[in-house]
Amino acid sequence: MNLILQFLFNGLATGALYAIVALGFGLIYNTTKIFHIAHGAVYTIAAYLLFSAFILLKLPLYLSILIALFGTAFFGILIEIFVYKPFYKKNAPPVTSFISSLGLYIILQNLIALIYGNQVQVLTTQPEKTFQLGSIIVSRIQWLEITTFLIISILFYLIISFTRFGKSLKALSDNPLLAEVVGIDIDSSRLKIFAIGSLLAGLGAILSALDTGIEPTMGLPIVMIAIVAVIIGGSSVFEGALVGGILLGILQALSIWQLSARWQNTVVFIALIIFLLFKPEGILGVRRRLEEIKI
Amino acid sequence: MSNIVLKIDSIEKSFGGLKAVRELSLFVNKGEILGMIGPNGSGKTTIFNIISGFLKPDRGKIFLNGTDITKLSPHIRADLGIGRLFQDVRILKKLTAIENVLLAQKNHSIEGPLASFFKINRIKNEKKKLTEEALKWLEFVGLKDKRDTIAENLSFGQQKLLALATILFSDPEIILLDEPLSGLDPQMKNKVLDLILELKDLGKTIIVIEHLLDFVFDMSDRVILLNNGKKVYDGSPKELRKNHLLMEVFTGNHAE
Amino acid sequence: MNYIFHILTMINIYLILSLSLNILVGYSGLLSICHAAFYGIGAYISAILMTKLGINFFFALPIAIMGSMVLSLLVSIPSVRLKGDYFILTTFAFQIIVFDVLYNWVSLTKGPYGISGIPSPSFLGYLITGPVKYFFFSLIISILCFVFINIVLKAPFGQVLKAIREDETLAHALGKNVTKFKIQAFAVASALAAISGVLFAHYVTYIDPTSFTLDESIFLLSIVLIGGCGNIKGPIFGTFLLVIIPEILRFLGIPDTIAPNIRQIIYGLLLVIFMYFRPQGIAGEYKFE
Repeated sequence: MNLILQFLFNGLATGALYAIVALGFGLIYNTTKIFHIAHGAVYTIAAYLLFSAFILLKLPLYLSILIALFGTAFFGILIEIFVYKPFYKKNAPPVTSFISSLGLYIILQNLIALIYGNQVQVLTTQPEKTFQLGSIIVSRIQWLEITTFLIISILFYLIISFTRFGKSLKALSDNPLLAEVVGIDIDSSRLKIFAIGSLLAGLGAILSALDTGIEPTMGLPIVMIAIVAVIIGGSSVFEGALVGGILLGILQALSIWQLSARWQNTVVFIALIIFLLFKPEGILGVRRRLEEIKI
Repeated sequence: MSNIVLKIDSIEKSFGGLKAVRELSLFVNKGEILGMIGPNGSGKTTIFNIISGFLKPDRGKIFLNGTDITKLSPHIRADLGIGRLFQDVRILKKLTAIENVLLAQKNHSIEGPLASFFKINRIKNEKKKLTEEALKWLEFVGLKDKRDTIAENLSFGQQKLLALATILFSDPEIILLDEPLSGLDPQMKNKVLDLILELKDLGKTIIVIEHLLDFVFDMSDRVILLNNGKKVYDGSPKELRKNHLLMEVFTGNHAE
Repeated sequence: MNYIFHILTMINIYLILSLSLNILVGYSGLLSICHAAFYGIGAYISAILMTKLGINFFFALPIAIMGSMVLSLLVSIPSVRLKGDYFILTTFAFQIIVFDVLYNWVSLTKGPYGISGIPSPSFLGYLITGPVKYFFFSLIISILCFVFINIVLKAPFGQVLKAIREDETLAHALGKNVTKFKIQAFAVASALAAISGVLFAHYVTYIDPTSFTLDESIFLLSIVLIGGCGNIKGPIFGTFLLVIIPEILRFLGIPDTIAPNIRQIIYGLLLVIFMYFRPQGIAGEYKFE
C-alpha cells in the first residue's frame, strides 16, 4: 500500500513539472496555433542558462534562477520575432511553421551540445534533502514542483478570469480574426504569449535541472509529453494542459510500478493514440464537429 | 413513386444552438430541374452538404432511387450517383482539363496501387473508352480545345465549366448545382443557362441553388423557397413570382 | 576507392527511403515522421529471421516487406482520418513506440546490444559482400524500386493520391474512398522502407535501435522537404545532397566528436531556410497549401 502511494506521489510531482511546461506549450498553441516544438529547445536553454550562471559564473542560486527565467523569456521572444513572425506575415501554411520549429529545435539542441558538450552535467552534488509526509518520502524538489504547480495554476486562473490580458487570450484562442477586429493587438500579444510560455518552460527546466541535471537532449522528451498532455487534457481550453500534465505524470508512475521504467514513453503515446481515436477533443475539450472541419 | 430520384424525409440539422435546417422534406422527380432559393443563411448549402454526405443530419432520412443513403459516406453516395458541384469552384489546379475530367471515373478497380501490374490491359482499354467519353463532355461545355491546358490557367468561368464537365462525366443520377452562375460575366451566365437547359433535354435530374431569381425561374420546373431552414413554398415558379411570400422572405419580413 | 562505393551504396539505400517517403509526403500530402520506424522494422525482421532461424535472404526479404505492410496498419488506420497536426503527432507516437519496442523487447531484438553477425545475401552460391559487390547489388534493387514507384505513381492510383493531396473534399465528391487510398499509400511506402532496411542490415551486418530513431525519421523528412517532393527528381536531389554533406564535413577535417552536431545544425538550418524561402524544396513540385 505504501509503495503505490509513493509511486502515485512521485507521479504527481513529475506530473506537476509536465503540467507547467505543457501549460506554456498549450498557451502558445491555443492562441497562435503554432506547433512550437522549439519549446523543447527553450526548455533546454533555460537549464543551460541556469548552469552557466550558477556553476560557471558561480553566481548565487536565486540570482541564477532569475537570470535563467528572464533569459528564457527573452529567447522565446527572439524566436517569435525572428522565426514565427516572418512566417505569419507571409501567410505561410501552418505546416511550414511546424517544420521550421522542428528545424529550429534541431539547431538549438546541437548548438548547445557544441558549446557545452554532450554529456550530462549536474548542478549540485549534494544528496537531495527529503522529509517524511505520512508514509511517503518527499524530496525538496518534489515539494517545490508541486507548490510551483499550484501557484502557477492559481495565478493562471486569476489572469485568465479577471485580467484584460486573460480575456484577450481567450479571444485569440476562440477566434483570432474576430479578436483582431475588436482591437486586440496581435503582434504585441504574441510577444507576451511567447514570453510567458517560454517562462513556464524555463520554470520547469530549472526544477528539472536542480533535480536530475542537464543534457542537450533533455528538451525533446519533455516537449513530446507536453504536447500529449495538451491534447489529452483538452486542446481547446487552457486548463487542459494542467490536467493532462498531472495525469501523464501519474500514468507514467503507474507504468513504472507495473511494467518498468523502460516503457514510460510508449505508455504515454499509446494513451495519445487512444484519445485521438476515441476522444480527440480531450478530457476538458469541447467536441468540435468533425464534419465542420471537412468542408 | 418510381419516378422520384431523390427523396428527403424530415431532416433536421443544428450547429450548436443554431437550427440550420428544420423538418425539411422534399423530393425530385426524374428529369426535373428543381430550383432552391432563399436568402443567405436559409440552409441551402447545408442541405446540399447533407445530401452529398458531408454533413450528417440530426434527424431524418435521405433516399436515392429508393435506397436509404442517410448513413453512407460521401464517396459512396458519389458512386451511387450524387453529382455535387461546389459553390467555390473545386478543380485540381495542377492537372490538365482532361485529367480533371478523367478523375471522376468510377471504375475503382483500376485505381489500386498494384493495378498497373495485374490489370494493365484492363487499364489500357478503359483509358481509351474513358478518354472518348471525357472528350465528349469537354466538348459539351465547350472546352474540347482546352483539353491539355493546366486547369489553373483556365479562366474562372472555364474552370466552372470544367467542374461541370467532370460531374457530367461521372453519369450522375442527380446533379447538385451550387450557385452555378455566381462570379460569371453575362455572356458566360447565358452559356451556363443554355447548358443547363440542354441537360434537361438530355433528361438529367438537377437541383439548382441560385440567387439570380430570373435565371432560376427560367430554368426550373419547380421551385422551393427556403427561409430560416424551413421550406415555405414548393411549387411552380410562375405562381411563386406572383406570390407575396417571395417579397417577404427576401426583405426579411417575419411573415412565417 | 572502397569508401566511394560505400557512400554510393548508402545513397542507394537512402534513395529507396526518400522515394517511398515521397509517396506519402509529396503525393498524398501526408507528413509522416515515422518512416525510420519502417526502415527499422524491415531491418530487424530480416535480421532476426536470418540469425535466429537461418532463413535465406530471398525469403526473409518478402517476409520483412509483408511484416512492414501489416504493421503500417497500426499507424495508418488511427491516423489517416485526422487533420494535419494530429496526423503528424500520431506518426510521431508510432515512431517512439516502435523505437521503444526495438530497444526494450530484449528477448526478441537484443535491445541496445543489437543484432550482429547478420549474414550477407548469397545468390546461387555467390556471396554478395563488401562495398563494391554490395554497391551493384543495391543499385539493382534501387533501380527496381525506382521503376516500381514510377509505375505506381503514374497510374490512376498516383493521380488519385495527387487529387487527395490537392483537395480531399473534391476527391470524396468524385467517389474516391480517401481513407482507403491513404492506407494503401502507407502500405506501399512502408513496404519499400522495409526493403531499404533489409539492404542496410545485410550490408552493415550489425544493427541496433540507434539507427532507427526519431532523428533518422526527421532526417528522411528533411531529404524530401529540402530536395523537394511531389515529383521524382526532388527526392533524388535531396538524397544526394543530404548524404554527401557529412562526407564534405569529414573532408574539411572537422573532428568526429563535433561533426554529428554540425551536421544536424546544417540540416536544421536548411529546413528553416527552405520552409521560408522555397517550401517546394530544390526540385520539388508540391508546396503545401
